[in-house]
Amino acid sequence: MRGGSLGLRIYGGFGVVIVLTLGVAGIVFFSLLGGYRAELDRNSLQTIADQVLFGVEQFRQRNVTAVQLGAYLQTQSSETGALVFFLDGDGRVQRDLSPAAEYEDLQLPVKLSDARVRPNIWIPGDVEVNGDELPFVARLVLVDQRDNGVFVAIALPDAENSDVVSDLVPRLLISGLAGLGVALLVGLVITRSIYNPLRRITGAVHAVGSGRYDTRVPEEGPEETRELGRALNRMAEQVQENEQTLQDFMADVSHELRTPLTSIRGFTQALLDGTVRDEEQRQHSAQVIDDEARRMLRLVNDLLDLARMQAGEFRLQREPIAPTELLEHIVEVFAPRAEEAGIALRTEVQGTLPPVSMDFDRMVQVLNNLVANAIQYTRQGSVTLDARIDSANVGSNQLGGDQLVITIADTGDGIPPNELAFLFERFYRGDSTARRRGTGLGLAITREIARAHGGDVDVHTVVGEGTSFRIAIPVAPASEPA
Amino acid sequence: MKTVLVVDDEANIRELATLYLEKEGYGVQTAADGAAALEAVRVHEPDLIVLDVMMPEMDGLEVCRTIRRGSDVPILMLTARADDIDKIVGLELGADDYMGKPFNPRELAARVKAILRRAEGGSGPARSTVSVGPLSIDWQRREASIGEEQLTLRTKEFDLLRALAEHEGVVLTRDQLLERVWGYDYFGETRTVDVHVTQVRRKIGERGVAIQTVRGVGYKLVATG
Repeated sequence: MRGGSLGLRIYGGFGVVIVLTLGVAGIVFFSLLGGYRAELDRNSLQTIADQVLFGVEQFRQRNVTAVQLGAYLQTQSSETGALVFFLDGDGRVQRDLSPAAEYEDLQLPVKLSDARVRPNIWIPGDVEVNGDELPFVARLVLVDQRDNGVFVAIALPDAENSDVVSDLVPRLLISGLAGLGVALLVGLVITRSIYNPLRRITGAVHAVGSGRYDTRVPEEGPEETRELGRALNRMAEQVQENEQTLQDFMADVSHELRTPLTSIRGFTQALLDGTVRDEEQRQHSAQVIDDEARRMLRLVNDLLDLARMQAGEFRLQREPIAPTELLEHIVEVFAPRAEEAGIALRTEVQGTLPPVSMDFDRMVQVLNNLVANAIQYTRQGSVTLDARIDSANVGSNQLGGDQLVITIADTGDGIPPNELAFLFERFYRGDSTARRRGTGLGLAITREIARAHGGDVDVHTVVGEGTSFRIAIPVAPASEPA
Repeated sequence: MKTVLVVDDEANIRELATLYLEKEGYGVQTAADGAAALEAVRVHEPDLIVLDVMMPEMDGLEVCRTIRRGSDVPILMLTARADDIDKIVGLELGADDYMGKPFNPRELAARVKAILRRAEGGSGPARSTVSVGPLSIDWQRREASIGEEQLTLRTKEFDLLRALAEHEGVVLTRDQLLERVWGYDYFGETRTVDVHVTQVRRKIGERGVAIQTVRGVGYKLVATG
């Protein structure tokens, strides 16, 4: 059964169950009733038979004739309503003594000639008459003067039995209909308690599907629908949150693109309408336009990078790389800038480290980001790069096993605790710094790259003393996601 | 000489605003964040403040609220986020006007001039209204009415009417209107302006104020009473 509503199925199910129950109950009832009836019949038959026999015994003592006996039995038949027959020794009806006298010549399945041997027993049997089983009892009642046995059979007509059936069937039907009615009422209540919450949930799913993310359903009804309601509400909340995140992201992108655009168009116009006149100012304006154009380009590149990473569309080009080679490369690149800022930039690598499978360019991107930040936020002191093989837990990844852990520690101002939680979010830049040079995407990209390597990144900071970022990359490439 | 305080965390934008405001003959002070802005308001008592919304630590909205607690100085908000405009208009922040980024620096100077002119005329909430003949426009409530009767205008229709009303009797070109109403970053047909002018004319009717076409140039709003 595929189609049809739930309500229809519940009603249909109830109907089928009730009809089946009534049917089975009826069949069992009638078959049990049949047995019970047969027993009742046999009992009353036996009673009548014993009564008849008692009368016959009285006659025997007075030496009555067969004719007199016949007359007596006829009276008995009309009084008790039982059928009374004279039989011959082979069970054939010689004379039907009942008022209707309709069973002359009926053959009863009983052999009574032998009964002389044990003449005191009513022999039970059944004869089929007009398709009905007619129970009877037969026996030798007396032996006449010529030593001929007189055999008598007594049976009860079948009429009563069918009366009971035709009496009971309509009653059974009425009780069945009453049961059906009550069951459908109960079904209605049950259906409502299941079906109504389901309908509300379906409505809510449609609402969320068409963009009304603030839709919630009441958690009610049976446990399952309450659970479904809870799950749906959680989902809707999640969708709403994601939608909000997306909206915020779009607004942030818009802001980050419009800000340099304002400078570019503004200074272009200043050049065009002659607001800036002297050569020095013109040079400066051109420089601003160039810087801001680069800033936009960097932002667009970072956005594309991040989008590709988050869509899972970027592949690492791994090769075994000696960690010291990586760090030396970075120090070489940043040495002039560190010197300019008056900051000591150094590496502290203990012993020799084995090569680790990494994407060189991506790792350089990560370290560029972190080292540039470290130099930018450190007014005096040092930026130290360290690499070691460790099994510490870094970030939220419970990596276990050996990892290459690279630490970038500075002696800057540190990051206030309230900012730590958002540090790796897109476009989050510490409020406490007036210097806003990056795109706000660097740390988000850094984390994506570390995670793509199967690792993670985290940060420890002490306000006023410094900050250290750690990147962990698993040494065994087997633990990386394929 | 009137003094304008420019508050923005972007040095380039401070510089740009300074260039154009000084060209118009204003003295310019600058501040890079909210705290510096509040300090500058106290020390320099500027005649007008150009205030960016998105700044680190204390954002422009908060700075605006703080200034309003003690001062009536006109404030022009700058924002690069579309959703900030709702906050500026909706929160009854007490800002006198706003411009979206990117903005045309000449337009910024023109707005500053217009706000200062209005501020001389009156004070308090009246500054957010402009009137031409029987037409009066309150941009902060986004209401336009002729006499006692309210006009039902769409957003762009309202902005268009407001732009024309602020330059009563002055011809504005289609390009100027496009930039002013649809934004500095709008790339569309100047025909858009004509279509909207037709709509606004229909809503104004002939009730003592009219948008006149200046052939080959643009439009101007005049009182005809």
